[in-house]
Amino acid sequence: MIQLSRQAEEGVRHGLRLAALPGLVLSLTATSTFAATQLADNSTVLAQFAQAAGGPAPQLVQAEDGDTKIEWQGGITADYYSRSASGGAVLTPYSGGHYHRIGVQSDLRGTSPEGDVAWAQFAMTQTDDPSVLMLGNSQINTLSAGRAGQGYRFAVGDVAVNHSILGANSPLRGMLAQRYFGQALLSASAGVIAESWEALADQGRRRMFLKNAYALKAEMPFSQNFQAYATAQGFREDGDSVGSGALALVPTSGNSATAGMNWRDGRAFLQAEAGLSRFGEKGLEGHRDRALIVDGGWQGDKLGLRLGHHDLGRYYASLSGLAGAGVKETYANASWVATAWMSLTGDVRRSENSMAAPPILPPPPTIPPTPVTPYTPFTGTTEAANLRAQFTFPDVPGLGLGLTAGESRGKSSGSGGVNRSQNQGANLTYAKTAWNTSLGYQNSRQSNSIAASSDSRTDTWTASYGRNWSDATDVAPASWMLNATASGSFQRQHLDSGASATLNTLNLVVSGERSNWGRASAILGASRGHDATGGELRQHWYQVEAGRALDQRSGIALYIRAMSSFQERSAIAYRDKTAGVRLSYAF
Amino acid sequence: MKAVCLIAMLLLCLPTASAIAQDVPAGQKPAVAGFEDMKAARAALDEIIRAYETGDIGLIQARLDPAMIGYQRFIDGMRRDSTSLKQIRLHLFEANVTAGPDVAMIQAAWEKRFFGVAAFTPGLFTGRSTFLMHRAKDGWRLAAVSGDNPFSSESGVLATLTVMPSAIPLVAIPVCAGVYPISVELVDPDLAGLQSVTIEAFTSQGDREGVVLTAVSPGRFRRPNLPLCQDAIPPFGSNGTVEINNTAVPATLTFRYIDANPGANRPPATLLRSVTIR
Repeated sequence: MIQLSRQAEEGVRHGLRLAALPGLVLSLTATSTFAATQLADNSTVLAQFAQAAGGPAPQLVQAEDGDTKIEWQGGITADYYSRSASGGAVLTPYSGGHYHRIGVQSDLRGTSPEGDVAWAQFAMTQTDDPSVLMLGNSQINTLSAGRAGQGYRFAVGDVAVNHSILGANSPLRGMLAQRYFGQALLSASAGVIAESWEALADQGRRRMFLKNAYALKAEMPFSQNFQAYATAQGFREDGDSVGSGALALVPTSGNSATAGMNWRDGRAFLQAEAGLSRFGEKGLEGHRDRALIVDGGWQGDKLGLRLGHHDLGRYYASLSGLAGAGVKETYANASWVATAWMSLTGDVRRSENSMAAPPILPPPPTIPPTPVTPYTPFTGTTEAANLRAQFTFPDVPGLGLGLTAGESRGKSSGSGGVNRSQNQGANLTYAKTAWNTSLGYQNSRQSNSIAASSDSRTDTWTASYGRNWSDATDVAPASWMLNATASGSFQRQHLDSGASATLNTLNLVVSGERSNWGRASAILGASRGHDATGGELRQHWYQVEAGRALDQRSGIALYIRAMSSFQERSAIAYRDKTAGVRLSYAF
Repeated sequence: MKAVCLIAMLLLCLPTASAIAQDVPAGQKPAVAGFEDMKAARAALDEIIRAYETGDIGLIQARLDPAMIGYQRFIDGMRRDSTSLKQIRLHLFEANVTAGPDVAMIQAAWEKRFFGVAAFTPGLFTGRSTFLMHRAKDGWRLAAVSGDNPFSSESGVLATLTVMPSAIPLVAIPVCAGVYPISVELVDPDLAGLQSVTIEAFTSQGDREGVVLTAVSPGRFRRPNLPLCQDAIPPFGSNGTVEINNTAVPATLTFRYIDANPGANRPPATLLRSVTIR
């Protein structure tokens, strides 16, 4: 895997070896059980799948050999569609033409008498539509194989490394092994972080450096309520993995180590983790940084409390997507069922965004075409509070009222800029067996002294009415059903500059289903308004889709959808219209 | 090499793992996520995307864990987006899904199209993210966005710096003082709303200037030319002109921008683009 990132040819060979691994692994575990495979179709699930035409694939093969069970779920969908589109790439992702899209997925599992599970999962998309795959015309969406049982877990291919918040929490293309030694858990992962399997094998499909990575974790319970763990992880971006000049980025590397604990006793819990890291950019000065998180809480019958503090340095580098660097925040959150008809949720927090200022001040502007504004709109310190209340009315079953209010105030540490955000809202709902309705109002006010051009107040009204019909009775299920929902939103934005913008939207959704026929749905909508310059805004859209089962394993669906936007304004006009057919088959 | 050894060691563990495994502590059950889990996680993500497009930040807020790191920065950024960017449409493509027992990691490229609220100018941001979804009691929830954050422009998207052309013949550069048509474009969604941004230009001969790019749409900054000229004497720094000593070519003109907030899980990133002058 490491070699792979340095030489594309070798990468292809490694990729093929890796792709072959799942099959080998599964063949080892499943050989003895395949011989006794018996077909046992689940007609109900198959019919639903076929009717949904693209819905979840059903279980197709269920075999039992004594206590060992083999399951294979698989499906294939094929779309062929024709699209007309205009507007250009800045306005729409779609282009006109005739396209196809084929999706294949397979999930093969074997369960041993001891409960150990071996699996091989594969999903792939093949298409000539550039809005689905921009580079190339096929992509592996999932490739994973492994085995898990009492006290161990092993996986190769796409593996989800989920060690800790500050350590490793990231997808890898590689392998993962976990095993208990007595009460102690050891977990190890290694692989490459790449955009896709295709990017791993083909340099021409890379738009970011390949990142070679490893992650280790050891966890030990010291009592029934207390566990402690330690992690170590690192990464190194391969600067040669992308063609010269393709990226403006400098390759980076990083290593980190963390230690943490989890404690739970009855209704109370506490988790904490601290980490140290070293981060470097190739040819530039390196940085050491640290991180600390502490989260705790107490959950009673009617009251729940959450408290926490996070402090992550801006150069803290790990393999965890949860560990957003450059944040220091403290929060308190409470949920309280005050009475049978009222529940309250409150949240207060203070956060500092140390990403606010540039790490190295930009040079003084010596070639200025315009006067220079401050460098960054980011907030240095923010204080925020939110309150949500939910009411029910015992005397009027089905009636509910939700109220929200929130405010955050921020102050930029360097430029002295001030951000402010306020919002209030109310939502009234009423639901009966056959229909429901809602009415809502939201008001928000945003201001940012550094980028004041969008300072404004926005009022939004929403309303909806939905109804369903069917022939269901107390003793018989429905043989047909029909649902309809009409909704509308009315938004006004008043900018502090004096301009205003409006957008009024209406949408109607109708869907129906009849046993042995199939199901159909339709959406029809339009919006009208004007932007802050006074220009008129007109949009409309529709979508019709109908599908039915051809037999227990296959289904067909026809669809047409279209959207037309701002046709009276040539500079921003765009539209697209797609009509197609989808065939689905479960094997 | 160490990683290769580690992989080899892990591979060796595979066939023996079940044989030597010991009893798992109570409460630990082997579980494997299936395509149904992946689909449910993707549906939960799509719901958040639709809410972001329609400005329903309250729904997203109700779906987030209060212990999420960077919670307030995330929410505030989305509220600012819903105010300053209109008609947001987020298009995900090239999606990969990696699932564990209670976690799903959706890797996808994205394009965000919008109109700036003040002048209704169209804009396009692109990026690549990993959406971390965790299984909660009431379904799949968004735990974090790693890499470029499409939901909240100010929560970090890696900038792109483009300079054209990549090579300039010395004979094409005017004698001081003159202007040469070099296209410099910076796209940094984090800076949407600013009218201009300053990047650094320096030469291998010692000149150093601060170059101001002006906004052509929210978060997109550009200039079509540069005061660039040649002379037979060493350059003067910070004088408003990039000077090339024509007696010491070839030389390199480098543009540098440090993206202070390039997305979650990425410390400040340095972007460099060089132009060769020969």
